[in-house]
Amino acid sequence: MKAVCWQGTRDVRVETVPDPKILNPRDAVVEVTSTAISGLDLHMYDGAMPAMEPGTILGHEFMGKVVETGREVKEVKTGDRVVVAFPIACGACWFCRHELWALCDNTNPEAELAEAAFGYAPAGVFGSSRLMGGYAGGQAEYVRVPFADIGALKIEDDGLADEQALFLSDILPAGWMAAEECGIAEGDTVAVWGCGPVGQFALRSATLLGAGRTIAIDEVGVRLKLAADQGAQSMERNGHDVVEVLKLLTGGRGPDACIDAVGMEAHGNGLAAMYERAKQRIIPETDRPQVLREAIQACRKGGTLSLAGTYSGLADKIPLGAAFSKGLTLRMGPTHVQRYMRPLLQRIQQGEIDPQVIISHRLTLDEAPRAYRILRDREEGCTKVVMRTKAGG
Amino acid sequence: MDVRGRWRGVPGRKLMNSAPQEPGGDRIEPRTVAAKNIARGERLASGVAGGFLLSWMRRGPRFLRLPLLAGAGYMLARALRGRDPVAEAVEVRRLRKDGAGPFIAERSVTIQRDRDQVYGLWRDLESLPRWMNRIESVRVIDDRLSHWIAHAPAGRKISWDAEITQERAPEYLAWRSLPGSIVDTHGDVEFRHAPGDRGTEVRVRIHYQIPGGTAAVLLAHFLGERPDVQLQDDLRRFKQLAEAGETAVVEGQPAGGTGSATVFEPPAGKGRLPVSREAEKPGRKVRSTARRAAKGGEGS
Repeated sequence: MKAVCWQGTRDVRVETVPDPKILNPRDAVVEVTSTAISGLDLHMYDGAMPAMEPGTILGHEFMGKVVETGREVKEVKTGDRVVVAFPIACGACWFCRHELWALCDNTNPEAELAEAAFGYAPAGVFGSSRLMGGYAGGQAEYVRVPFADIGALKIEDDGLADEQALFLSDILPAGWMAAEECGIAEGDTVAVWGCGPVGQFALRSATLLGAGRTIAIDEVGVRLKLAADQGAQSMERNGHDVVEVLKLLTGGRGPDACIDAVGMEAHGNGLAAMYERAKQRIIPETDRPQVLREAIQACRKGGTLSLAGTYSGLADKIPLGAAFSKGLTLRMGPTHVQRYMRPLLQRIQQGEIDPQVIISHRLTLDEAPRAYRILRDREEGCTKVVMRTKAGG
Repeated sequence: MDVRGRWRGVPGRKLMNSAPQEPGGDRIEPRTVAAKNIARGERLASGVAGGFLLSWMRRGPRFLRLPLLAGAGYMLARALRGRDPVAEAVEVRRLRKDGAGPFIAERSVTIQRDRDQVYGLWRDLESLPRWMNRIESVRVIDDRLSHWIAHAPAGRKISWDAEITQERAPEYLAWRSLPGSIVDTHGDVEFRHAPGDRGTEVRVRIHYQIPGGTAAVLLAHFLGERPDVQLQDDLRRFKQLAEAGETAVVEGQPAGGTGSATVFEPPAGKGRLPVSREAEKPGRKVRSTARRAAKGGEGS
């Protein structure tokens, strides 16, 4: 089969590799119809992810048709159309029983590595580094899905397009969880840094959860326009003191909740940003937390900070004193996708959320190298790429 | 998991340079005859010194030739093998005479299952190889006795008989190898209710002592690779089996080639691969990242 393989920094190739097989009784094999490139993929593309193995098949946002199931797979059947959650979860451990799916105890085959880095190992995920288990991903014609009964959601509605359901695998639940963790009260003001796909979904989710006002902060005009179209007040970051402008916009109070939907690869301005970029170049495990710093400063006293952007390494010069003195609540973590797939599918079907609005490019799997490049460099107004496989037509 | 594994190494010359060290652990690094025992800089220096000795031998007086040749051979052997032959010989002799150990490992893990279930899974000795990586098979002889076969280095196998010395189902089990076994081991495991519907806490202690003899050389390597990490890995698989019914694996899944595999060319006009330049110097920075993380995995 054809698959998108990571071969090094800014080096992804479409290669011909063997088809995946059932390796465990609870596995299924899915024939992929649609797959997307996400922000996490770009971290890997940029070489910012530690412990990447050359040859790794990328992709953790995908959907398709089940073509084979292991003998212990009970719910999912051959022929089912499914969308698959990016964290691999066993469904039986303490964490799964408490719906903390992305923290599953039993799905990281390289747990020793992750334990050395993080103290404890989070769940394995598709198409990522050995720290996250080293599972082959779904930017391919076929993919092995471990614990298919837990991770694969059946899409019964044949009328629902792939593009409507695909983002249930990661970024729609990610945006939703980021907003949910803010504990939004009716009428709250929520500021979102980063208007990529997760940021867009976070803005929409905040509104659905009762926010009275949402403020979108980004550098890219297209993304800000998209946010404004959805009803957010948009704020261009370049050349502005974000904290001051937010004060002006909120009557001096500051936003009740701040969402960092950028993460470790934040683009910043000035000396601090240069320092962070230099440091990341020397030590690839280093995160660049400018957004986090701004959000801590900007948030109102007693407010909530929710981190949706990925952090995977070390960050320094976090103004902890400000966070402490202002009594902020910090929420963060990988998305417990399985918790949100069903309810969000309903909201899509009811027309409350239209996931398709974020898609800017529709390409084929063969065009993956170009897709990565334009998404990374934000060329051609690129916000989100969906790739169809041959099976996806 | 509780990290209490600890080495009680034997005094003597340090034989491994890159000692795997865990935070908080007061371990003395394992001593294994197979490990490289000199540093890379020292290897290089040995190689250069060996070269010099060789060139002196050709020019120098005849009576010095034999000692110089021996010296050059010694230096080159160090450089090529990354081991000091003298230190190695001393080590092998010491292992034959005194054996090695004791190696002690202690770990604990919580399993989201009833104590009876967890105990039952553990007590099913013949199924232990499903999660104990180095055990090939266990044959139960009677209620107390069992016969164990383990993988040893270089495709060899070792076997011994073990007996259960104490059993209080479903809370405690202790065992030891029978006297005269090739490996002198004993251990115990405790099963306790975890507070607040968290299942069962399993706490294991294992103690190895390798008696002297030829086998000691082989076994020191086998058991000397951080028994606490080995135990933790085994317990992780035990937990996966008990909770999820299978162990997480990625071996056997597809992957792209590492530079030499078939690269699919997109149809003409559909955009070129943007990798032409970088592809020739494959992501060096990133590989070193992977290596660093892998080292991190060894706790360095």
